[in-house]
Amino acid sequence: MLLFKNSFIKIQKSLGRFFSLIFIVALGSAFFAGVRETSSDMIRTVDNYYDTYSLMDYRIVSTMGLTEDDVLSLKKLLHVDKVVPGYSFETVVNGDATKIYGYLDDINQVAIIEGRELQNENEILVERGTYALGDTITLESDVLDFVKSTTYTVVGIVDSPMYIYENKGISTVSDGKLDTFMYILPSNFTLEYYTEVYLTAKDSVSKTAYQDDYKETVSCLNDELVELKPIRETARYEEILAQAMQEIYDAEDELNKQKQENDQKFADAKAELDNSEALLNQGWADYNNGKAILENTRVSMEKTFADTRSELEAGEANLNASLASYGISIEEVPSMIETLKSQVSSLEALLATLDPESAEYQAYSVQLQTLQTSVSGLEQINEAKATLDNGRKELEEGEATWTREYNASLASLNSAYQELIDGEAELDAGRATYDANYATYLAEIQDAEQQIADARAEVANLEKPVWYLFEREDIPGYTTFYDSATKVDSIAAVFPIFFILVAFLMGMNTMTRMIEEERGEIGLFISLGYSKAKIIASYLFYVFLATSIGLVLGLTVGYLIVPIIIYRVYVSMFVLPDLELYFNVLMSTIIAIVCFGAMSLVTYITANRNFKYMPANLLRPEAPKMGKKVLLEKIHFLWKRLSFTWKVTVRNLFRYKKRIVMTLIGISGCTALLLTGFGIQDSIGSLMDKQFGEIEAYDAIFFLDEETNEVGEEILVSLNEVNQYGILSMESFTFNANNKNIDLYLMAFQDVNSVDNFIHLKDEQGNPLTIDDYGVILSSKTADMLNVHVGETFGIRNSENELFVLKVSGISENYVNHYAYMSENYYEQIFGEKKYNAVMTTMDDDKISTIGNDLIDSGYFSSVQYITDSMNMFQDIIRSMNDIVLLILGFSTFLAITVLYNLTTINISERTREIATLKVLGFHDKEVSAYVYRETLVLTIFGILIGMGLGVLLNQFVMTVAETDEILFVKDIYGLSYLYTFLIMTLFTVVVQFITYFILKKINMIDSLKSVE
Amino acid sequence: MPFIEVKKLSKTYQMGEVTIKAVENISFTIEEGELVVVLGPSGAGKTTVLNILGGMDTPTSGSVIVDGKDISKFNRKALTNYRRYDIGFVFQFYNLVGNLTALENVSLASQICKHPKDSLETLKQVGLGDRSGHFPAQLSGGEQQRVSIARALAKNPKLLLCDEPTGALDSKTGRMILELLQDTCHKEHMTTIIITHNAVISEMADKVIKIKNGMVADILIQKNPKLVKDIDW
Repeated sequence: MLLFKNSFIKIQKSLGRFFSLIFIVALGSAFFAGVRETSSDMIRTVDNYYDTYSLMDYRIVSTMGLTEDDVLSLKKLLHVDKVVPGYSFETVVNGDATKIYGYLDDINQVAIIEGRELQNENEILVERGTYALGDTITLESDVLDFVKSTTYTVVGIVDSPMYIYENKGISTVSDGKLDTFMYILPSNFTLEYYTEVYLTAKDSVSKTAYQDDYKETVSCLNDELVELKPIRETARYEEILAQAMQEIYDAEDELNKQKQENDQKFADAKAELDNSEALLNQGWADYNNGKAILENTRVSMEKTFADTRSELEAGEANLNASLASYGISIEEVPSMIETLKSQVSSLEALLATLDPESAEYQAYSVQLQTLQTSVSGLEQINEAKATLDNGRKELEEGEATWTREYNASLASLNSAYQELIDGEAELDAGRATYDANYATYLAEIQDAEQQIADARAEVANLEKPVWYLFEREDIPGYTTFYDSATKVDSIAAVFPIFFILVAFLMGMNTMTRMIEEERGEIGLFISLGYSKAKIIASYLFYVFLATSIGLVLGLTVGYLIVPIIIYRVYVSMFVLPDLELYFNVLMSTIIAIVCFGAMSLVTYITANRNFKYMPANLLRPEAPKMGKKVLLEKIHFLWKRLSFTWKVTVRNLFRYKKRIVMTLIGISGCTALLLTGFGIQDSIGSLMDKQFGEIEAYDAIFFLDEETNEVGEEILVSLNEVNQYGILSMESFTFNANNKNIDLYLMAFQDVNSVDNFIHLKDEQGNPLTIDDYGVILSSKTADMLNVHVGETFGIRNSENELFVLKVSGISENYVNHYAYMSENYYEQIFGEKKYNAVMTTMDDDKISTIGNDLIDSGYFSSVQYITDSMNMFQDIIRSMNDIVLLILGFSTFLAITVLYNLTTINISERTREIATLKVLGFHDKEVSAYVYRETLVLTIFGILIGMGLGVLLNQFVMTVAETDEILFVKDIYGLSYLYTFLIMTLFTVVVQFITYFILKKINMIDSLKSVE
Repeated sequence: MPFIEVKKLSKTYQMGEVTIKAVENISFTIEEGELVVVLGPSGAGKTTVLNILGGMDTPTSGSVIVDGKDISKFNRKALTNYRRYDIGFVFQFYNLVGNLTALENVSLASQICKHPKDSLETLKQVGLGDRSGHFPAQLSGGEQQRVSIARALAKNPKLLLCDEPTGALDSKTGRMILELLQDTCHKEHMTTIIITHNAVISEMADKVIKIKNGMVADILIQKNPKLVKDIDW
């Protein structure tokens, strides 16, 4: 028990040593445990995230949509768990390419950050950082092809396991880069087919994403899907084909039926028209006939009347002649007659009285007869006059009647004529209508027939639908995340081992020193009869106590703080939940066992070594190590020039080889870490400068509201405020490298000569590059990843998975993202047409936002991408990288100070006698310090130099590891960083020396020299 | 005026609550060129006296005048200079720097002095001219002690202080060392103080100061000290 009490007293007496031991163990275990665990923590965190929100294992998209039958056959697969059909479409919302999903309850759920889930069809969930609760989202009206409504209210703000990366992949709308995503209720969709089907594999939830057993589990389903794919493609093809053919047949039937009906109708119409014409002709005939008859009648009538008139006139002439013969006028006739008659009657009466034979009589008789003849003649005249009068009267009546009749006939003829003229006009109109209708009809028929023919041709050319099978690795950022996590692992493979190594070396050194210092005490205990085991146990107790405290501290920091810092750096470009920390009991146990094991082994070996000696020996100080001439002494002219203190320094340096190694490792390690820390900052800093200062000189890219083949004058006018502009097409594509699909921006410029105003394309030697019409200028990292050189070709794919092959005509310096620059002519050659969707601009710095807003307000542009936004994004990365740098700097500082302090104190304690002797000899404090420092100083300088070399390598390693697919780091370290590193290390050294100066000062000559009296 | 005058010298150590009186009220004088042996049993306080005389420790009270200067009033720096220029030390365990050769050990001391002797000459003087290139570990105890003496002498000090110079040596070698010291003292008129618990050694001294329980018990002046070789061991 006394031995343990002794241990406690030792701790009190040598707090510095005890704490440095604790520190060393804590540092080593913290870094080792922390960095090692971070990668598992990261993967565990995302795996839980994926599982919590039921991330799909596979997604199937078909070029012709998916049907209920597809879903049914998928459900029948052996290794499938969930089969969930769903809908989605892409559209532009406020200038952002947006993918809108029907929200599915049982797969790819979202984490609601704010608000609530969907309840009504007019509600929408949006991505975090885009809109606020209660905002109204209005979609373009063309989405009504897919959904019922265009207006939605934001009720929830969400994260989605489908979109864990800042970069959301490519889109079919806008500039080809998906900007955001939203969810609405699936019942909103009006599509007849599903746009996609999500699947999970059986048992995949219990497997950890990215790991082999996950891959194995889903690969069973993958095999089945690959097998099913052609079957369903064919089925869908046939289904569509049959449907199309049925439609064509129906159309043909309908056409024929229509044709028949319409032909009949037209024939009837035509017959009617013909009939009308015939009738009309008949009408004309009748009319002409009537007209002729009337004319004839008129002629004959007029002749009759004329004849009658002339007869009457003849009669009248006769009459007048007769009258003339009688010498009377006609008017006198009746009275004449009366007179004559009365003469007759008087004559007769006379005669009757006279003998008939009498001459008288005779005379009278003759008279009578003459009289009578006159009477009868007169009477005849009278009669004739009556007849004549009568005849004239009749004639006149006849003529009047005729005139009346004639007029009536004529009128009726005229009206018939009018009717006929009207009829003719009507007929003509009818014919014209008929002709027009018929022509239209024929055209329609032809059209319909053409349509059917087209449809037939289309059906004949109908391409088989293609199923695209997407797995989790196709989710943007899914693989990148794993790469990040494994990068942490590769860092974990280097740094912590270094720390642990230094920790062990330091621990060993400390314990060796301690035990050697106390050899007298050990001898005493042995001579007092304490067993070896007990003595060793007392040291082990000391070591275990220090190690335990160190481990508790180290593991706590290691598991709870280090992963968070590293995670922050790596997920700065991801949207992920907070890191789930995990205290790895197994690893802790292993670390503890290793630490305890190594420490106790060191202690045991060192302590045990002392037991070889007899107690009496132990009670005396250890014989000084034999001095040895060093190689340098052979070089006489050099050696002669050295002062004694330098000679001692040189000799001492080579005497304690273990210490040289330790110091060099410690100092060079810390230097390397420091330099790496600064180097990381340099790399990122120069990346910013080079990419956004030297290469990309433009201020903003404005995306046109719609793609166009020709940028209109009014748009150009709207650009009059900017300094320079260049019209281009900028689209997203992907290329495949290292089994990953990586985004690439294709820029095709209208005017390649103006490109240098916006982007300085330079080759590796800094020579300017110009774009030609025969290939693209490819960014350097892209060329590197694709392993293509000038003159070679490579393939890119658009969002429809179409492949385009491009030729490389130049490789340009570039550090961020992947670009291919080309002329519009080459673009046309590759894609078949020229088109523009963006304008690259430079502006005065103080006007950028004003001009930008004006241009967006002008309505010609849908969105703008400022270069400052990209810079800010990188500033975020830098900020998070700074945390790692601070972590490294912090750890290195601790390590450096601990190592230096430890080494110097050991150095001093080992040589107390020597130092005391120097003091007795009259060396001043400064001279004594210099005597001791000089060694440390030389070692420190060598250590720093070696460390600089190591640092360059380490920096290169770290930057290579930290590099993402989109970023190429400049791996140069600035001269200033070397200087800083040197100064900091020197500062540490000076600080430590300052501390040791006082330790040295305190060394008591008398005590030190009499210790073995 | 004597070369060294120690007046009413006291030294107490405070160990927690216990006060230990190492020496109390000691007074003596030493003339230049004298060989003085300070004799006393272990713990009598003789080393304390030596330490104070050598400028390695300061008295609690009293004065120590060496060559006209009161070193008890010296500050740290003055004491260091005093050690550096005026004092040569010889220790029981030699305290050589193991990593330096015999010659270098000597030079280590002489290089910081104002008027050092030639290191090699001094080594030759102590009889180690042929071993100057050896490291301490390659030398015997006596040889090491001779190197140690040479180191002290090379500084050309005013005062040579030897703390049990033969304590770790066998008697034969011890005598050789003592002879060397006596010779040096006489030939070079070097004031030498030897501390020992061995009464026999005191026969070689011009003056013997006996110390017991931190106080001077007796001061013995020997007009005709024995030569070391004549001392009967």
